[in-house]
Amino acid sequence: MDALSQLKQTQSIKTANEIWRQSPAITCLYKPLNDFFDGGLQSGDLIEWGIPWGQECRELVLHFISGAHHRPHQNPFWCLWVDNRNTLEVYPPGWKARGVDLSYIRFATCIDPINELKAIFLEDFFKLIILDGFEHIKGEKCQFLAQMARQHRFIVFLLKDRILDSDKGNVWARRRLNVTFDHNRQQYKLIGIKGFSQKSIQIPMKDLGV
Amino acid sequence: MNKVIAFPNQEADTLNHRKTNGLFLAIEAEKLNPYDLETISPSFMHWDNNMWILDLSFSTHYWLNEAKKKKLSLFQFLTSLCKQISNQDCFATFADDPWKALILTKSLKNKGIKAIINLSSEQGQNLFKHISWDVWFAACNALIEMKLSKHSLKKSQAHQYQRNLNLLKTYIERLVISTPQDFFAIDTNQIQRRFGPWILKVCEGSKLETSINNMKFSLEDHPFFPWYRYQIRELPQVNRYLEHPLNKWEFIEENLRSDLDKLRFLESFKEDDRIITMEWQVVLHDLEEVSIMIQFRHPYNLHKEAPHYRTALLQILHHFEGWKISYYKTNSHQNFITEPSIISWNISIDAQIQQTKTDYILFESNRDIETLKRIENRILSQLKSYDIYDSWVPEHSYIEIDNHSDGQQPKKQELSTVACHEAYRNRPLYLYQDPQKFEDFDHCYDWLFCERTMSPWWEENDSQNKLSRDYYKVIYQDQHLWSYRNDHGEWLIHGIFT
Repeated sequence: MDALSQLKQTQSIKTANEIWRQSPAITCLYKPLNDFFDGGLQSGDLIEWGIPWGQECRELVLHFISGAHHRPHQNPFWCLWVDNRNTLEVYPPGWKARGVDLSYIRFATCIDPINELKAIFLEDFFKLIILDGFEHIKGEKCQFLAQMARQHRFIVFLLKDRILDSDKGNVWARRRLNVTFDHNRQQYKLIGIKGFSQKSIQIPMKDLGV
Repeated sequence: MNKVIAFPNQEADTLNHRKTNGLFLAIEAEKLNPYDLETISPSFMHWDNNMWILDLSFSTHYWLNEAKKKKLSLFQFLTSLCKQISNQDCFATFADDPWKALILTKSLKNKGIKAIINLSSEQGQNLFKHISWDVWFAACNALIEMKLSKHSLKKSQAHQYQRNLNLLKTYIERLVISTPQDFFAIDTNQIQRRFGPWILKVCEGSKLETSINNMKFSLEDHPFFPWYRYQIRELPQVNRYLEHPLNKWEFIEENLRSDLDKLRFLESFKEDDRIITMEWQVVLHDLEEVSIMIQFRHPYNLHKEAPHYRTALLQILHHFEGWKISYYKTNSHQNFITEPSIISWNISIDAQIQQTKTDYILFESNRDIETLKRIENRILSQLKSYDIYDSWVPEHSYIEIDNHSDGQQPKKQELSTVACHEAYRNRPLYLYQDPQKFEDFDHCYDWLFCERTMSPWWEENDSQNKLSRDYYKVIYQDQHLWSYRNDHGEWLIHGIFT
């Protein structure tokens, strides 16, 4: 046992990192999903999701938005959903029926969100920002996002329409995970690639109310 | 001179006030104060003694948002503002064209109907159909007088128009044509041959069914109606002549910041003024003039942002960079393209709105909304928000709050909210803007019937608007699709479960 661990045991001292991360900023109503995220989402995190398009996996993401909007005894968090799908448009009743409060969410469609929405990342108004389907956000742009998220304590979900490669990492993402849907078993499979204590989790579709 | 319009991609129609796709208000009331009118729109003109015409396209965007928040239609909301500035005592008309608004208001006064009418309503259309010849001729004569007084018409031309009007008067008296609308049904060639092209234009513009909206020309180029904007005070503007040509933003920004600071202290720009549009006119090293229009999504408070003026400078930067890209494109044929350098500029406030009377409406104290408005003024892309209307038909079950074009709320159906929401739960998160034709359904699997959706057949008389769709959830190439079969047996993909 090292000195710090001994000290912590005897005097219950917390490190700065532990204080920073002691209580999750956003939790969802489904406990196993929270547990997989070690209790919930922490402020300042950039989380990269490998989440194939068109397989209903984004239902899981909506659980966290719903959690951000229904925080017990606290004001809802503002959320922003940005995509680049020009032929499609969001269907708000579908979102509302899944627990999203439409008065606390804004949607944007753009090609280069970092450039077109820069002012948003420079302050802490939106506490949960979802960037859906932007393959080109990597390197410097990812670094900028991670730094801004840490500085202004908001959470960024970077949703990629493909399965993430565990060999090619993303140093700026605190967590990385893949989500797939097993059609035969009607269940989601979440596989943590980086930053998860549990390696994977399976969630039956019916448990999420889908 | 090149003009660069702000937010060109998504919001040109919403924000580009120079197109006549907006809304006009003609109002006649005693002792109307131009400062009160400015609280509704910064662009208005004086017609005669007590008659004013307002171009509401400058501020429709803002009023639409506020009306939505108060669960009113745009017209209900604007009507309450009109009543407020005229002390409930006015003749007024909302119309999509200034001329139509003018003649209907004159007609209301002629008949002694003190009311605020919307031309697009049934009542407005009925009243418009019965505008008398006297009112129409009087308005035409006033139009000629107005053009003469502003020197935009020669005396000889004015005499010609008067002569043609007199000819028309004799003609309708002989043929006993009771209202102008009956006359306008006559072949246009005949009107032009007998009474000249100007009378034809006025007749065309006075037709009830003609929508000048669809023609999309500048208000300044209206076929016959002269728009003379009433300048309530001097235009706030600052000039700068640079000692050396500048092309680097950091140096331009520094000078612009000090100019915005000067602008703030001008007498013509008061502390409770909020900017709607600004114009940055630059002169390049080759003496080419470029005008960059900056329109703010929400009225912008320059004083509040002193001394950094981040919002204004960010918008100027966005448009300057956008202009630079187009500059390089147009000069791409040259072997060496020099970076455009600026030698002088003029920065002016083109349209502003006063906080005083609109304070309680536009500038609310909700901190979140204030912050959101500030952020929206700083970004290039538009943020969208939605509201829900109970309807079984998917595309009618929601509205986009900012872009709901006419401000009329969709008719809310008397449906069970619980039942509706249960249906929404089984619908996807994304819809195709135009449902896609789907022919390869032999290769789909896992068909699951979801719902049968019908339009409210008990309400609609028009059989063309009736629809009936059977929705299925199918899997095609690993994609979970929401498809339907319509009345004609066609299969279409409407949405995707993401």
